[in-house]
Amino acid sequence: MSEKSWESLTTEEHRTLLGTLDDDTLSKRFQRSREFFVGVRAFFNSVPPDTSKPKRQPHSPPKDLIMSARRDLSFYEANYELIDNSIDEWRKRGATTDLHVEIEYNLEQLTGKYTDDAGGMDEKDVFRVFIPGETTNRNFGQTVIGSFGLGAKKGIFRLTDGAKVVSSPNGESSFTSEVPERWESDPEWTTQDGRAEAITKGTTQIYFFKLFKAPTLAELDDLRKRLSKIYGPLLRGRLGQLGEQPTTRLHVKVNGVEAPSPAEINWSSPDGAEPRIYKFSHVFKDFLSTGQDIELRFLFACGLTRQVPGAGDGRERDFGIDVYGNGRLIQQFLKDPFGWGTSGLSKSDSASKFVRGELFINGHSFAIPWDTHKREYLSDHVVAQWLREQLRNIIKGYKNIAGRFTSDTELRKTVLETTKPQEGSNPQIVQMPVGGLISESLLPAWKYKPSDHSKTHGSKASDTTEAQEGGESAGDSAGTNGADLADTVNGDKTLSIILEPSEYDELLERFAADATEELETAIRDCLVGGVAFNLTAEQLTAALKIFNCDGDVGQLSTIVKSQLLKKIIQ
Amino acid sequence: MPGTETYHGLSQPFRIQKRLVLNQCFRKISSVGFPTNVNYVTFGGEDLYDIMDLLSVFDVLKHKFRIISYEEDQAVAKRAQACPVGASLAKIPTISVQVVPTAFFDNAAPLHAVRDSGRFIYFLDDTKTFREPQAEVVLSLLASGLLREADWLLITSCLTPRVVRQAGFMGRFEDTFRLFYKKSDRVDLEFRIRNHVDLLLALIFSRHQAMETDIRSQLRPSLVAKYKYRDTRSEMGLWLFRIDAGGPITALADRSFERFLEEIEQLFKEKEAAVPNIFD
Repeated sequence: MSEKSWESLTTEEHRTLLGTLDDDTLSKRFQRSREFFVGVRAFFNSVPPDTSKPKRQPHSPPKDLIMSARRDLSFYEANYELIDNSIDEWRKRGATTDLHVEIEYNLEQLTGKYTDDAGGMDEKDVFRVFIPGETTNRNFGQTVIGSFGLGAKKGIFRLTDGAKVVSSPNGESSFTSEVPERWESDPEWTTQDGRAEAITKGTTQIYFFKLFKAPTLAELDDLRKRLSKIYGPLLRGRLGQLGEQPTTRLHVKVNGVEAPSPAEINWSSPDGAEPRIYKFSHVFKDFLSTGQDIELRFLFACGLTRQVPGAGDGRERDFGIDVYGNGRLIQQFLKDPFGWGTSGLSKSDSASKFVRGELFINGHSFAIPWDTHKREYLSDHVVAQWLREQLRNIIKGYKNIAGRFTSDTELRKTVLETTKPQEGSNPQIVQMPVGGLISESLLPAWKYKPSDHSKTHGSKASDTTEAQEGGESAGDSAGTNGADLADTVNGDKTLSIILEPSEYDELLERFAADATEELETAIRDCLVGGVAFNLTAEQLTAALKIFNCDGDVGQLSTIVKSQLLKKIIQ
Repeated sequence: MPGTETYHGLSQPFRIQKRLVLNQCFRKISSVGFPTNVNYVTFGGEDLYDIMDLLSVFDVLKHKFRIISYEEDQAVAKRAQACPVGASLAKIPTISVQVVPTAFFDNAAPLHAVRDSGRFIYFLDDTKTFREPQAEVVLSLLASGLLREADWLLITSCLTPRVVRQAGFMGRFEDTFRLFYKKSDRVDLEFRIRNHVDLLLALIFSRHQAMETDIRSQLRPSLVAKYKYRDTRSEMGLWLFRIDAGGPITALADRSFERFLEEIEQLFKEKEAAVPNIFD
């Protein structure tokens, strides 16, 4: 015992030692001050002494978990939990082939069926689907999304009253486990386990006998879209492209319709500041005092986007970092957890709005900085804090490059807005050392000469913005400013037009635009690069009549355009 | 947009095809036995002409009519109240005509005032192509309890090729079409054109159903008929829905436009003037 530290001993051992040795002896033995042991002894002495000898007492945990699942999880999250489970099984078996998940809800019958081909479950494991705490994910060397043996159970009990699992790892027979309706009111945790006719080898089916509340078709449509976002990297095989597992892909169908593979980030690719993947790993020793060393592997894709965020096609909805745990989205567009809002990384700086990133954290779920429902990236988590220090300089490096572009409208329009990575190519993968300052050679670099019309660096606007959020040293503030893009600083002029609602709708239709941003672009293109002219009311009336447009100005425009195009082709 | 109406050469009474399809719709509504009180909500414009379409089908001696027309152009609204239809009908004790000088649903008080007095017929006679903003108005009606079981909904949608013949028209709803229509293959543009109102309306009702925990109270639109008419250059579509209760929307059926106006449409096409070529 003497070679162990006091902290490494159990409470039982503490009590035994305190009962047998005095404070001076303990002090010498454990290299701690005598006062320390006086304090520890006082603490244990403050616990009221037993008046009868404690006995071992078995308990059955109440089934409140089942009821709480219905409150804790949304319909969407319940489905995610089941998919997480399938993904974990798939990974544990090597993910050598694509994983297919099919979710079917019958809205009239109030029944449902969930199917995966993740490999199937062994007979001894099938019942675990229903019993909280029963998990096959205890090995901290595994790359798993679930860890506490709760997720899939909560998912099932959120959705249905009574369920049956049928699984066949070998295709020769199926193993089953079933819980009846109103299982929550039965104090026993008994499941009905058995065997059934064989289903396809490697598949698992979960039958939902009585949905508590059938989803609507609109909710199923939403589920499909949300799955695309939540499992985007796995649906498009992104991790495999970056040298991580799995190299195969996930496919999910909801009532027969596939969740689409999401679009790539709208990366720009200026020389020296192309998007890059920073690859690194770290072993977190004795993680959260578990005695376990857990290794996490990281891939951080960072770069600049071609346009500022907006609602139009091809634009990002926001700037910031998306974080994924084992390929599953935790949160999007994170800013503060990666240093925005601190010195040199102002959130209001227009340069920041061009910076996007994706952080892929891979390893055991237990060490990933998310809550049990995987809704939130825990920024005060030890791993999140460590990551913030690793990544802040990279983000700042890109932001500074963006600053150079925002202060030079010509370069922004001719380089940032137009360059993009070669289709199908992967960004450069950079092996990043951890723990120290990142080498300059690994950071993005500025490779352009300023255009004739560029702004003077260090403008007053820049100083003002930085001062608001703590200031920034002159050395690393080069090229940043707080001016908005649509301003008059660099000779740009902003035109504003006011449209009545009906005019706005008409223009959206005429230019086939879905949002204001798209309409703005279309109108600008029309004015600057198109043919536009004005007619008097009399001329317009005559033109509409001659061309038989019946008051449809857009139709007149279409006719003139089509005739002009025919003439050009002739 | 302001000005567009100015250049239209065909006034409401001469939009013969529109009159015919409205006649068909109102006949279908009246044939199921409408209660005494008829609450009719329309975007009647300056002439309130569609009110005459309604009254020509319903028995004015057996029903009481509360007619509310929304018109956001104040001047047009003023003229509508004094137009022959409005002025004459105002003298009949069983008919009330109110022109509300706001955009539809900016002022819902007149609707709430009569909501409990009987069923509603809404004629959402928008000149634009029916898209999400128009569908959102229906959601507002549902959410505020102004659209209920046994009400009727007439929706127009402009089928101008300039909008609906765009390759991407309703393209982002491709998978949503497949889900709602249980289709395993892709849906083509023709499918999207003839079913765009059906889908957007079903999505809205489906979203509303998610808020209703009692499945028996869930409302859904049942398509009764859909027509095309073409009095002006732009083809228009008119969808007629009955609002039913009693269960979720589980699937939609692909239905074509009614064909009874084919001959008339052919006549119209023959009369259509050739478009001059300004480059020859």
